[in-house]
Amino acid sequence: VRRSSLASLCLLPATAQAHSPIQGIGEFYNGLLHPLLVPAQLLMLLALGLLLGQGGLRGRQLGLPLFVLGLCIGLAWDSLDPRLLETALLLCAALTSLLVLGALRLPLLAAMLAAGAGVLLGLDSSGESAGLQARLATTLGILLGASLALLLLSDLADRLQLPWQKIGARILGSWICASALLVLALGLLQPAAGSASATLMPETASRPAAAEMLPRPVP
Amino acid sequence: MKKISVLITALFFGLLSVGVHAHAGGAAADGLMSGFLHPLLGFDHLVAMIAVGIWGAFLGPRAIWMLPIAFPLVMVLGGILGMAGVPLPAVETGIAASALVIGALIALAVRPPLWLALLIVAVFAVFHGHAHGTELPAATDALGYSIGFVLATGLLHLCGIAFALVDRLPHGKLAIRLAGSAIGLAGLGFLSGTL
Repeated sequence: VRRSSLASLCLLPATAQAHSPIQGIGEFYNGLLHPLLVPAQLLMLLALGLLLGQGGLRGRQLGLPLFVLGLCIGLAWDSLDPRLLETALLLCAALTSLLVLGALRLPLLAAMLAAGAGVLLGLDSSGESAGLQARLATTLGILLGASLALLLLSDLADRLQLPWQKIGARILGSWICASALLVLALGLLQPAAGSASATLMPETASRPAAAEMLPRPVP
Repeated sequence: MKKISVLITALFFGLLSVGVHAHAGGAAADGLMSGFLHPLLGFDHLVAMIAVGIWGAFLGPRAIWMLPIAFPLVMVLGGILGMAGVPLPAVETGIAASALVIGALIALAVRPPLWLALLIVAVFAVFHGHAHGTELPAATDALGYSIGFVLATGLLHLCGIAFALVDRLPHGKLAIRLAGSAIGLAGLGFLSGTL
């Protein structure tokens, strides 16, 4: 499990940047990969995985079901303003990674963050799709992909018991926090740059809604 | 020790896989790559980051993790100043001086109290962060760029820490002090414009 978890983590940077729609793999697999393809969602999942893992078994028992519940609620709603959602996701990632950084064991707060992150991730992933069947497959894929990613990451983090491993988790937390804070600050200080950035990375390219990643139906 | 080496190697190769897919990605991939390469291609950044790692490991078990945690967080402060357009005098000089000062501290085996070491590193982190922050708004994907350069910075710290593990070898301490001298000389080169 350790080796497979480590191998999966090594693969994350590669998958994280494949923002182009993946043609030909179908709705379900596009949904499955969606949480790993959106940087803000990936940061959120990494931070939350580390936090739930640091909380031990109790933290995971409480946080994981609440995350899945929140995800279901978020996916059921219509999508909101994508930039607002990305800001909320990054804020949540920054707060979560600060708790990781401090190695604070606060299971209730972690569970609340997990539920909130689930809602945000679901909202950020929901979108219009061609039909009911396609939407169902995409939603199931996102639900499974995000839940499995969090399960895997929190399991790996829970296994980091040696002192240097715990320090490594905190260092990773500081990296996530720094990345999230920088982009949040950019959005606050230079909204013009933020909109320029949005122009340069249109919604379909930078934060693809899973449904938008689907191949167009051939008439 | 073996486990640490395996982990660092896995992390390194994991990040190498970023390069494999760079041409297939969109703006975010470009942002990630440009952010990741920024500290690596700037020789002054690269040398200073490795120096921070070596110095942290040299100072002992608390500094070995506190410096790499503190650096990116303080760097954010510098980054915010850069993004806000707050002018910081002599940014490039500060970056060059970071290599010179930390290199000299390693070479002379100076062991200040942890708070002072943190303060020294934090001051230089502001300069490095300012340089990165100034370039951030121009990046095609700000989040990808931020993740990239924070990752690269952290990995350079890890490289420095990994190098400092030679401390346990017979002539390890000498090797570390020689490395510190080389870093200090490089810093002098940056300051004088030779490098």
